[in-house]
Amino acid sequence: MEGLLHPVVGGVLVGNLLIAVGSALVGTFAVLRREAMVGDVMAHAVVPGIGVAYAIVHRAELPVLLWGAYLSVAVALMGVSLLRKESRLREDARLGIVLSVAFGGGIILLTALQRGQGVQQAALWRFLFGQAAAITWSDVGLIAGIVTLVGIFIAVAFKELVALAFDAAFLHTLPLPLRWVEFGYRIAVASVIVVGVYSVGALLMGAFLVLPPMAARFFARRVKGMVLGAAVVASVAVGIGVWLSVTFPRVATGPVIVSTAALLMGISHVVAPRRGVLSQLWYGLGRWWRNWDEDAHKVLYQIVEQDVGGRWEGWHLWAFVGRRVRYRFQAVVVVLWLWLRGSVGWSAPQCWFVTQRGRERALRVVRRHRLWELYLERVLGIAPESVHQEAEFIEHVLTPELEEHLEELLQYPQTDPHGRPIPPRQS
Amino acid sequence: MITAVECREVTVVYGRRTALWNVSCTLPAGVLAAIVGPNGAGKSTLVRAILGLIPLQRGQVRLWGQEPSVVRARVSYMPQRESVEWDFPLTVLDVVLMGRYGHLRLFQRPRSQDYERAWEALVRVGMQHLAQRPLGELSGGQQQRVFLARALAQDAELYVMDEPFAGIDAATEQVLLQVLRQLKESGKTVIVVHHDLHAVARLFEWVVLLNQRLVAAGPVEEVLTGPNLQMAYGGRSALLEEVLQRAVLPQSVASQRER
Repeated sequence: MEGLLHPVVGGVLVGNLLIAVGSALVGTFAVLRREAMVGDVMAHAVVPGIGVAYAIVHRAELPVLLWGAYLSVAVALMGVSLLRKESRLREDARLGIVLSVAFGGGIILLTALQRGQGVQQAALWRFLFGQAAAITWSDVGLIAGIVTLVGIFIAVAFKELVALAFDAAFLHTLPLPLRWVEFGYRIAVASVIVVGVYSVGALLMGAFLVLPPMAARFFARRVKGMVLGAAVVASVAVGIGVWLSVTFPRVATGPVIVSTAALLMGISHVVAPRRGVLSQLWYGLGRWWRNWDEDAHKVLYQIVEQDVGGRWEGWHLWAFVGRRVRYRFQAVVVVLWLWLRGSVGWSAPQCWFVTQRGRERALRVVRRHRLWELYLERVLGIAPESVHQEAEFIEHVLTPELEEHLEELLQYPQTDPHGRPIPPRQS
Repeated sequence: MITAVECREVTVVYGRRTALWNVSCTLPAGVLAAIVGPNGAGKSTLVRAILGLIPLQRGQVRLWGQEPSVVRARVSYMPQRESVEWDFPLTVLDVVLMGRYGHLRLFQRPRSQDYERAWEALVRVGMQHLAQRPLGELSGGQQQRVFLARALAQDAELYVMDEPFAGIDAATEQVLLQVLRQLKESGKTVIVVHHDLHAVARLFEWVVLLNQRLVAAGPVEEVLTGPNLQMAYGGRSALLEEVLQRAVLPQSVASQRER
């Protein structure tokens, strides 16, 4: 890691971190506007511009190539809006066409240039895959200027940009000159992509623009947080890319940076609170756990009601596992479960009892089950023999409020459709 | 009587499809007006034309005698709930504040009075306890109320609402009806795109009946007549269905209809 402190490497690192921050700034809005594909088109459209600029000036320096890149991005965007007006193609088809035409043309141009004369053509090919290590301190000045301007624009126009991304139609009904905001936004995206291509490469810059914001989206509750998170993710990805690029000069930086960003996005997808896969799984597991617990208590109640004559204590274990439940294995699991949950206990093997907790839970679930059965029979007119299956499901999701309403509606009933008592409410 | 909205021979074309054809109508200021018609009748298109959101192939729209683009500050718009992606990193209050953007200059930060107005609007729709709730966690009815609050925060004279009654819960419907009443009492003009003919006859005093062309426009009792509905819905209106169902049909005809 000491290599990163070397002055030359320092320039590389600073330049790339600036690009990461700029990318997070505009990439967040590209994601929120669902325009990831537009970024990809712009990145690929940089290539012919670089070729033309080089053909004219014969120097592969960043400032010169930048102007060519800007121009060709502008032409590509104009091409997209021309297709939008004049053709009946869908948006994805329009973007795809412009992307491939621009990129194909660019490659033809670069190939022709390479055949012509060749001092710096290698520098041109670099724009395809990117080479973070090629950034010098003089480039850093230019990059810093561009990213600063982009940052100022995003900060100033923040509220309009957010509102446009959320509900553009609404915003256009307001008396605001939004044309300028849209224009500024396009220039900001183009600027970041043009300098980003230098480091990440034309092929992958579009992906680098949107991956960090997508990773941040899993955590962020507001747009500012999303920008911040995207900047962190992008910086980490760039840091790793630069380090590899400096350590192993033949490593193409772009793929490393983008793969790292994609990996970070994948990790966010899994671990993020609330929105992440694990969090969702945990939630599902919690539900499954509760249902199973309630079912076990229901079995407990049935044993008490039907097998041991309504006594809540003082029966033999075989009353549990032997008579009521069909499969002993299942019965043992249920008993073990209830014991672990503290719903049943024993003083001697022949003297088992149901605890206060077990009693309350059992009564509650049976009560909901039977109330619902009665509701189905009385209000919806369903035959008593078919109400059980429906209630098996509802008993787990009925809320206390609904339970109260049901009871009121059914006028505080005593028995269910099968003539069995409905337990009273637990206070 | 002041005319709030005037459409003259409005024609809108999407690609090769004509959405609105030669629609002319006027709306007096201070009325609760409904735009009704079958699916694909161009109801939303007419709304967008009135707001100046889409180019007209022919004709013109005048709000208080002026171009829509000139009087934007006096118009408030409540889009369809489905028109936006609700899984968006914003809070409820953030969205309601957008209703104030028309009163601010470009890039100007919302002032304290804008926050107050937004809060008042939230209170009016009964959502103040959800002000900091992320948008993604709202129910459909709550989403609709957020849009309603944003429209109210605009403090306009003309309110244009696109299908506000679509897919909402009873509580939201109550809020919406109450707000419409309040707007009417304070002399605002309200245009509502609606799909339920029964509710229209009960709630609104002015109706624009549409099926790509204008079928009829005017006071509710003059517009919602059998022949007009027949023309708009081609014999498939909800009212006509009901009349048909009540009439005693021969068994064979009824079973054929079911098939």
